[in-house]
Amino acid sequence: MELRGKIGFLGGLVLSLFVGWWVFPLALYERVEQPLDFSHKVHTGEQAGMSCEDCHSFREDGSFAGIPKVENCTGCHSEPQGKTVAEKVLYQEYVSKNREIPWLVYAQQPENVYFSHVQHVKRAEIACERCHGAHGKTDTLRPFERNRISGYSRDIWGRSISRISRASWEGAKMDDCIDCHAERGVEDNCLLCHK
Amino acid sequence: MAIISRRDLFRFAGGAAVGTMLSPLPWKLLDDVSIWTQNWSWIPKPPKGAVSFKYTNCTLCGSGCAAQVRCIEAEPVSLAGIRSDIGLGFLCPLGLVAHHLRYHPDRVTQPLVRAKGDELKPSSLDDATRVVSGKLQRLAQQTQPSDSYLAILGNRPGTAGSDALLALLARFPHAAYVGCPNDGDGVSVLGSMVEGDQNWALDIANSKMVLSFGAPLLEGWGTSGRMLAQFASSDRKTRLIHVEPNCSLTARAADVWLSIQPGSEAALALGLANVLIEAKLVDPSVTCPDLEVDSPYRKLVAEFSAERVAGLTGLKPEVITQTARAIAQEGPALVISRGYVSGPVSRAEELAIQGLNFLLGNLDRPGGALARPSPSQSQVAGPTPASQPGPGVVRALAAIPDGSVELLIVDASSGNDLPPWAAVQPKLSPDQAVVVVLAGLPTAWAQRADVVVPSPVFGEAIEELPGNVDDTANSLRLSARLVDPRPGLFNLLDFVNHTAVAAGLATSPVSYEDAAKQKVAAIHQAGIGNVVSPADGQAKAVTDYSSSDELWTALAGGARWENAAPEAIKPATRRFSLAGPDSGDVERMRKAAAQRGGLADVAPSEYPLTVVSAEGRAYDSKVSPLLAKITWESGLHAERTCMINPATAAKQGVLAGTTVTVQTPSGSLDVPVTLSEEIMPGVLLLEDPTGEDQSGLMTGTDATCRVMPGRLEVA
Repeated sequence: MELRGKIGFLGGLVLSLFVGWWVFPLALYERVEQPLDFSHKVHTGEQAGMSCEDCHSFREDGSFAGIPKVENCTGCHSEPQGKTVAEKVLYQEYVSKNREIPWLVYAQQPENVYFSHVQHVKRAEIACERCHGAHGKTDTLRPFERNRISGYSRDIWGRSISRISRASWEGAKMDDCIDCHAERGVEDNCLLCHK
Repeated sequence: MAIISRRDLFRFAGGAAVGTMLSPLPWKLLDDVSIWTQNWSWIPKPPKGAVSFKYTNCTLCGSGCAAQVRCIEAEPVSLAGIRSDIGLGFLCPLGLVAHHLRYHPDRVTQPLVRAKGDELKPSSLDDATRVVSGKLQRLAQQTQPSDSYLAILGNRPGTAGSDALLALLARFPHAAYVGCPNDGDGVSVLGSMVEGDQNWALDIANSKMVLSFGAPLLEGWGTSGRMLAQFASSDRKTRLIHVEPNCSLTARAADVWLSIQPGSEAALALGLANVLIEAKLVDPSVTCPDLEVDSPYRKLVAEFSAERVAGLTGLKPEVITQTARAIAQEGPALVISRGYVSGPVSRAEELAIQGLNFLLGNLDRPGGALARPSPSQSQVAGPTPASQPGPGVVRALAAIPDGSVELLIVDASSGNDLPPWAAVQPKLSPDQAVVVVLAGLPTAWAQRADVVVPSPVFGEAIEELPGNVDDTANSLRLSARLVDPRPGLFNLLDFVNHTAVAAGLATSPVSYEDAAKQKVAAIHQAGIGNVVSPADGQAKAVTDYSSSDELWTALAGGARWENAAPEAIKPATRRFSLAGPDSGDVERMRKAAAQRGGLADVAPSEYPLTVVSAEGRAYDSKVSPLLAKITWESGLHAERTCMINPATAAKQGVLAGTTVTVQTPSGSLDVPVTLSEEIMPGVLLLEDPTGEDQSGLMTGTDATCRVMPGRLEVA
């Protein structure tokens, strides 16, 4: 191939690689701010000393309550306790009006998957950090990144578009579940998760 | 200046294509688009939230199995049986996914009205009401000698809704309120043969032996869970003799299977009666004028010797004799049948069959036929106009004159098995009949209607369940409202009320739910019986409920009221008639037994085969969309077919899968052939998954429309 031809080919190659690896991930996800900024660090640190399960609790029947309802917040925040903007929004928009906070859940699983927290946390004794990383120690909530096509959170795929250099907690695709089950010798079948 | 040639563009595009393939773009897009297709916004999604449990009783068939409903927030997501219930925790595959029905993509969501000769088209409630109320007005105001009928299919005797509707129908000079086929048809005939107005049940749970004339004990009959526990077990304590031409599941599980010629059930019953009487095997406690030598019944029975019955049934004479001895000496055996409305036998045949129960002394005996304790819930509720219907209200299809029905209203909601269309069609007025069908799904019945009215499906409305044939207690059970129904749904009573008000025939008729509440209030006031909690099986006396509202809340939440106090039995005073309640019944039995439902009238050379229609349960209104999808995609769905024995096929020169023309005296039908050893040689079993008729194929003089002479030709 003559030089001019090689340049043309390489031009197309480089441009498409640039689009595929850099532009496409930017275009694929939209960033949405959480309704209010929440500091896990303040709540789980020395100041409040709470554990994950104080808010993300299990119900009596063993099902996972997930994101706490605003009534959980009201227990401590029935009156404003600080002067932060976040707490002002919490009190004025949600606690005083008894409105649920429309949190955007980073690890939200799709409807066609049945995931049991109690099986993983209580029975298999897997730490929350195994799937959620250091989320419980963060001082601020990062923007929620929503996949414009599937509607999923970016956390389900992981930060890396190639899924190659991911942190150990990143990603909650079916392959990740299968890999973890294989590591632990858990027998798999379709109906285990797809009821 | 360099010019970009077409070749350059191709090279650039080639590089771009290779680069794209080496980037995550196509692979991630493929992944996301496939996920997108699985999460379309209109796909119903159960909410996330707290788990709670509700209780109800399934309405998909007469078994009425109790069910625990797991809900996320308020949405039912799964059903399971309840072990403490009389059904012993059984729930069939249809019941397990009954909560899917409300999401069925084919749901009837608005009234459909047919213009003359046109297709059914979506219409308004006002249009549907106008059509029906106009007819109602005309039928209510007609004067003699006009004899046009208002006929309603869907009577559930003893339920508050049916009683209220009967009260309304009493205003019409000619009205019919006909029951749907159910497992209690046989015991109704038995009750009609006994003097007095008792409510009878079969104590199958305590019987030592059961002689079943085609009752599908393992396929769904009575309280399904109880039947399976009693008869599907290999170490069962109840012996089962099953009479059926083909080798059904029940026949296969029976201790003795008597494969008789279709239509010869009455002959066999009278043959058994003959042996019992002649061999002096009649229970010594039985005293009845019909057993005297010169009585019409004795004369009838005497005509059916074992030798003659052997010729009619295809059994050997000694088998008939041995069976009669077995049911008398190794029993006592309780004699049951599938029921005459849905076949395989007619009412006359049923009379012959039920006569055996009297000869065996089964009346008022544990393990036999027991009168349910008084008072029943209907008796507690007190006499209403419903219990004394007007002289014009008839309750049997056969009692309606042919061509007389001007308005037919059919309750085709999921709980009802309807009689064959072939048995109903002759009753319609050829020119003026309007057929109104209440249906949740577009069943075959709905396709025939002039007006279709959307009705609730499982879990959308309170519904009272009639007692089961094998439940010896008087009971009241309701199917709970688990979810808020769509607007514009009507059950049978409420739709008739609605149109009657529009026609000016009623002002404020009692609604279905109010009728049920009134009955519950009457039970509370009487303070009789107990309420069994579905959660723990614990019984609580009605007197412990502080108000009728509290009792209603318990029952509407799936609890069961029962009055199981034993009846004070005085068998010696019980009078019954083996010859049947009507004067012509002996002759009807004779004809049914001798002519095998009309088969004997046809020359075997012309119609060498016997065509039998499969049990007419309308499954198409009961199958969840998910279950339907699975069975279609896995090839397990039933298709219209005719099943014949391989020996019959060889004789007829037919191969499996061949499409044949099945001909009977009333019609013909092209249908593929399936070969099965389970079918009796010479018999052709028509299977139709919609549970409907076969294009007039089964229209004959036999009211059951189940057995016809036939022949087949390669189409």
